[in-house]
Amino acid sequence: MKFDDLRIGIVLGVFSVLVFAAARTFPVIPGQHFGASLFPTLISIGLFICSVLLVIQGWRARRTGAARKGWPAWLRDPMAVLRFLMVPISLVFYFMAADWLGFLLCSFLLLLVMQRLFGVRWMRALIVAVAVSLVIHVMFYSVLHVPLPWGLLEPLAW
Amino acid sequence: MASEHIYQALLQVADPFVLGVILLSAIFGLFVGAVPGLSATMAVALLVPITFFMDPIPAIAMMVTATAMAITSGDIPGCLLRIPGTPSSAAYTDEAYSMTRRGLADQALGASIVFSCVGGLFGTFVLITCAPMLADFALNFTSYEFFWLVVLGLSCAIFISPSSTLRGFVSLLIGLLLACVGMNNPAAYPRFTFGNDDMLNGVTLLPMMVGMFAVSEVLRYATDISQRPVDIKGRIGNIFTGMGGLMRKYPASVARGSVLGTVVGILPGAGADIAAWMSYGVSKRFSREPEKFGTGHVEGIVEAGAANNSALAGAWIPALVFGIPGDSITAIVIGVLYMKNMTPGPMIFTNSPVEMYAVFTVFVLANIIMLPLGYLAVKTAKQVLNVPRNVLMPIILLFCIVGTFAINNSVFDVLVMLVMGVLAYLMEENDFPIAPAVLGVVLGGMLEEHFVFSMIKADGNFWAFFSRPIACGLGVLAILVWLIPLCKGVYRMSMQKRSVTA
Repeated sequence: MKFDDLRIGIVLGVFSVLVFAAARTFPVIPGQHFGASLFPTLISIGLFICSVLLVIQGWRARRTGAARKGWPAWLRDPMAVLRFLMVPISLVFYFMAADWLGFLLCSFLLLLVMQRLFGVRWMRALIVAVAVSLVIHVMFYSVLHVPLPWGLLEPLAW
Repeated sequence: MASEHIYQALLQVADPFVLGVILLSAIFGLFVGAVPGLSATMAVALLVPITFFMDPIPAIAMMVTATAMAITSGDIPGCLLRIPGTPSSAAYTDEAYSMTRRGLADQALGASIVFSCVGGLFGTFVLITCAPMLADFALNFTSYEFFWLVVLGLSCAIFISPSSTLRGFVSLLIGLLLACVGMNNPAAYPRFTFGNDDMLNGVTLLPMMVGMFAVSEVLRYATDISQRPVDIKGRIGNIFTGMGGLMRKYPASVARGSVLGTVVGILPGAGADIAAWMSYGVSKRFSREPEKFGTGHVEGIVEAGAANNSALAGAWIPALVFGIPGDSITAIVIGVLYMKNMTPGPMIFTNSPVEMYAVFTVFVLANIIMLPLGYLAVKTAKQVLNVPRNVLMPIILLFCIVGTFAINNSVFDVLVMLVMGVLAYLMEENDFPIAPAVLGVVLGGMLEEHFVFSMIKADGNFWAFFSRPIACGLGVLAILVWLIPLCKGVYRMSMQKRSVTA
């Protein structure tokens, strides 16, 4: 996702002001000049200067007629957006469902769905999902002794 | 005393389990390096969860071997397909591909592998001899010296990076700000925690690295899943033929590449990729036949190939001795060292001598087994390069999730990984370099701590930072690093003005 410098600069500028404001609320240790607020304050000032420079750069580029960067093409492709969102979705799914479903089922489902979305054929996706789940399980559970949850497959535990 | 430690280290490395780990991580590294889009840094990031559950020596052995292999095998797709496997091969990809088109693929591949090994061994030699000496010397460093070292490190990270200085700065400041989160500051005041208990410890380093170097890659792939099948024409014969001749023909190139690579590796923030670019340029400049560069000439590959592997070992020197990472790979290594209770610093050779000698041994071993394994990698290149990316990426993502979750069983860590992955993806898309941010996070705490302690010691007198000879020297050096680009900028502006008025 590409944005032009003008927008990045503005966002960074607003962000640095927020950081500055937050840093000012940190308490000062009496009798000391260098409290918790010193570094965040300096960083926010630095970021603010950078954001001003970025805005100037972006503004100049716009004036000289550089092509404006619109939204990237992949955002108009619902499948691509879904694939992108699958990353956070898989994270949430794993920590919501791992204890209940168990590692093997969880990882099998995740791999299968992700591969299908990425365009892998059913047969290959199924085989890879089963094989990789087992390999990762053996590696973490049997070799490295990580307590991966068994969940629904508890009766089969080895 | 030392010989006792060396013997112990050799014994530990010779353990069948450790040797097995080395072999497996070598194959893993070769694979990750050869697949375009997966970098050596990502190879280490993916290994982090595994190292967590291992003893220190196999854990470190894994990281050393995997990175050395990945940097070397990154040359293979560059040579055969004109796609660098890792950023470190980008400098001479065109050259290597031109050689392939002239039917010299054997020689190009052989040169990358053999001189990677030579460069790697040279870097290792410097690491073995210099790191303990430097550590001895640094034992009486105080917070003043360390403050300047950190400042120097952070400055190098910005000014050496090939992208714009402004963007490097933004990246660094973001990293420093991330380092502020939590209560790990001299005042022990919880900053930017939003009342969340998990945030008190700050941004957890290792999940952050996994996010920045692995999850970001999956995100990028998700937006564009096209992959064309590749076909390698022609057969590759014996890649080691004629390497002795090259060695005799270009001894100066090999030496120059190895030295420059090691030095660039030592500089914080500049790793194997920048070392390769720089020494390719140097090679062209000093070559007796510079006109041949770009037409499939092996000299640049010899020099830059040696440079990127020697940089890898060089980067470990500041990482071990000062806790200042020489590149993004050693930034991850530092995180793992802390996790294994081997705090980097001048005392590391006193506190964990056996582990340190083991690191050296593994470096030597990894660079030697590079020759036979590199040969195998070339032979299987076609299969490796055609591994479907759409199968690989889901596996990488699953691995990141499971691995990060397994480390602490903490939802917070997984969240850190996700947020950092998205951040790194957005930054790279908009040409903000990642390395300064990583350095900022790793060094932010140190910078603040040394500054505040020094100021308290000196009672607020800033000149105390120049009161000790070494601190003064480092301070002047740091100021010079800042002044030179500024002067250059002013000079260029005045020249522009003159040309406008003329």
